[in-house]
Amino acid sequence: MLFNSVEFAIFLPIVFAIYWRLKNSTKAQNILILVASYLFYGWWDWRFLSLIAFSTLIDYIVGIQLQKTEKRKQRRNWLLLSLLVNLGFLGFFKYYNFFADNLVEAFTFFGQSLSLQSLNIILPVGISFYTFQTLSYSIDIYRRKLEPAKDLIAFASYVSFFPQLVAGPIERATNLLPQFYKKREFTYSNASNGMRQILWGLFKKVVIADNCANIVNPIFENYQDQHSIVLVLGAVLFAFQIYGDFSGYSDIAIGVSKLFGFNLMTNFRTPYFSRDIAEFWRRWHISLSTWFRDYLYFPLGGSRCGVTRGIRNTFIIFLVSGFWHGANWTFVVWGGLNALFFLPLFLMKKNRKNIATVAEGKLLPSLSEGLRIISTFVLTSFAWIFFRAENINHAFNYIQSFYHNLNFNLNLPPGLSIFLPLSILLVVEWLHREKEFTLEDWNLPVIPRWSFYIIIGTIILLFAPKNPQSFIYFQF
Amino acid sequence: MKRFLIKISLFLILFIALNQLLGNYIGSKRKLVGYYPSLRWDDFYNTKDNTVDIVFLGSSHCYRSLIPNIFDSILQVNSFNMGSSFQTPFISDYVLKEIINYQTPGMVILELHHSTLGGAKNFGNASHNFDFFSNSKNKYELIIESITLQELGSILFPTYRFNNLKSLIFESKPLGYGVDKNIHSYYSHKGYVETPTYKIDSLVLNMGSVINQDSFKDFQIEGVNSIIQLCQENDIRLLIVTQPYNPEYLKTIDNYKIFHNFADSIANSNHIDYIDFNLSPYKEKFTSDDFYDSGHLFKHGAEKLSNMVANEIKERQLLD
Repeated sequence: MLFNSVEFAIFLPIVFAIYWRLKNSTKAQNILILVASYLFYGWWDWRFLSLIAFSTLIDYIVGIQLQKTEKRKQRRNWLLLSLLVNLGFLGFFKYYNFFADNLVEAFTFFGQSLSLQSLNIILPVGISFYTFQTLSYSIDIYRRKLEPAKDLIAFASYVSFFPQLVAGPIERATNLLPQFYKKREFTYSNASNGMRQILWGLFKKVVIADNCANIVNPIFENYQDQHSIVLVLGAVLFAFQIYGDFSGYSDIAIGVSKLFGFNLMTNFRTPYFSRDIAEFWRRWHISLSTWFRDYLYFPLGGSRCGVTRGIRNTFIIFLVSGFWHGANWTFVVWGGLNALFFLPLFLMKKNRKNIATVAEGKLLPSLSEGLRIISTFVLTSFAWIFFRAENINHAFNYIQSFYHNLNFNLNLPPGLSIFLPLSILLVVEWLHREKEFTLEDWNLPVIPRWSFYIIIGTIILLFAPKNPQSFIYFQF
Repeated sequence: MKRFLIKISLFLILFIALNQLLGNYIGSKRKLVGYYPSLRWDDFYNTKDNTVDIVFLGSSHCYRSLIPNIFDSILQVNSFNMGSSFQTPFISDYVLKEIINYQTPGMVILELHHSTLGGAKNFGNASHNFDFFSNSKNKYELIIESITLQELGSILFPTYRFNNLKSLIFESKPLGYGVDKNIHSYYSHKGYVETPTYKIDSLVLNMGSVINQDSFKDFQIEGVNSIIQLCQENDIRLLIVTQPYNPEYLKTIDNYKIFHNFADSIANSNHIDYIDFNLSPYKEKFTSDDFYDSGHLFKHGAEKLSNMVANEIKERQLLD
């Protein structure tokens, strides 16, 4: 079920109404969330519900056994079981064909032959997201940072919580699971903030992402026939497409959760206003970056283990993060490029220079800040070309065409009315950049505030494609 | 909670109301790009009440083939073509109900095609008519019968439904008829859409239809029956016509007789005249050159057919 679909527009108020009718029983509310979440997921393909259910059961048992057992070896074995099951599913469904194809190619390259069949595997929607969520649970219990869930329903609801099940934010058990144990209170400010975040998320997804996609897709598909300016435009608009798509989903997920009395972690903090790549990565897909930081980067020693290992760790985390996105070398190169962009800051110990929000308390950035924001955006947009490309050759050919097709013919593609909503996006997000999310606790008088909502809602309707578009991150 | 629900409800009501205004305003701009249904219904409502003698109902095979001016001239009547794209008998029934609120025609010519008898209920095709119906039970019944869950948003939010026309918001003058550039058609008069003859590079035909009586939908047959009953109740003479198919296309259809016999049995059992232009002696009068595709006629083909239908009415004295 897509957030931007009629089905969801009917599903949400029904679940909301029943949920708050059950406000006196947290258990009944959890059962409702579980049923609703399975229905939400099963709308795509009910067969994969068994994967979620199996993962849930395994991690529930592992959690209890990890607490019961004091012996280090046994505890390690239980953790290993959780890792094997979760990463096994992920590896099989997402990476089997990639490894099989690459092994065959490698053998062929060395003059040997290897017979490994590619399989016709359907990737379960959101498997990378809920796998990482359940892994965090097992690892945190192993590290004794978290008590295991005693209530299977609460735990299953946590794993399958429908707002963030298929595309995050990847919640930590330490943040979300306890919220399933305690009574949820409906508060007006939380619910109205939730609605505002949903509205803004829909704007980003339906208006920005889907309309940018209509321009970007033909440019990437026929890059040979495009002149340089259009190719640059394609890369820039893809940067906005991916941002609108993914951060829009996160906003809707977080907003919907608020309607049910849950608080999810922030996933994006106006990343395109970052002054360097390090800041960008503190603001982009925060739930994944911090997951890798806590469960991979720090265990490897992080940055406090000498320069050489620090560089190695930096590359590992960026390359793995890239590979997490998909079984394609393009994502690995994308991760590697970001590591390269990050490296100078790391070596000069400037990677934590820009912690505070840009131009805090000011209306406009300084010239230097503005230039750094633009240069960071140029670097990220360049890297996004690899993320968007079908394969490595496609990406390189696209980049080569920048100068092969160099001319200043301003025969621009249709659909550029998108620049009006893009301007609205940038202005509104700039004005709200110091908040947890855009439009948070917006205290304008009612007439201008409602007028703004109506204008944004109308723009959504005016720009909405006739067939709701899926979210890019569902494929991850 | 109460405060939240009240505010959300108020906002939704205001939002929907404003969107109805804006959306319908944008929808009204369709005529600027030569949207046939809009021009046709405008024409219809501008016709003086109780002055139309013959009404044509049916699909594009009807509104692109039967020329009112020819009927008017041969039969000395005032005729009007109220066909619309893929107007199935199920939709024609509602169209006729709307028409008789304003006109008292003496004759209805119902164009019947094997594809429309097998057609599904379709919101888009129904909207070519209900968008222009006056507010009545008839209008809302057709909307409810045609709508699916997916289209609910289109009705609540016409701004979304007509968003492909957003560039016309500030336009006020017609941008020219004949926007259907591929087939060079334009709205001519009294519901008729004309396609002047042009050279076809390669004829694209919907080859190989297989006609099976099981594919005729019950609700479409009920539509035909309802039209028959409505005509009887209002003392209207009904004539059923199947317009000619491109001979090249007709050759590829298996079991055309199944459709013909089915339509013929409906006509016979209700004592209605039925003319099928895909049988002798009519079909020999048409060649592939009269068509621009599988079943739509050029202007010269439409003139030929209109003359033939009008003369049949005259010879059979169906208007007496």
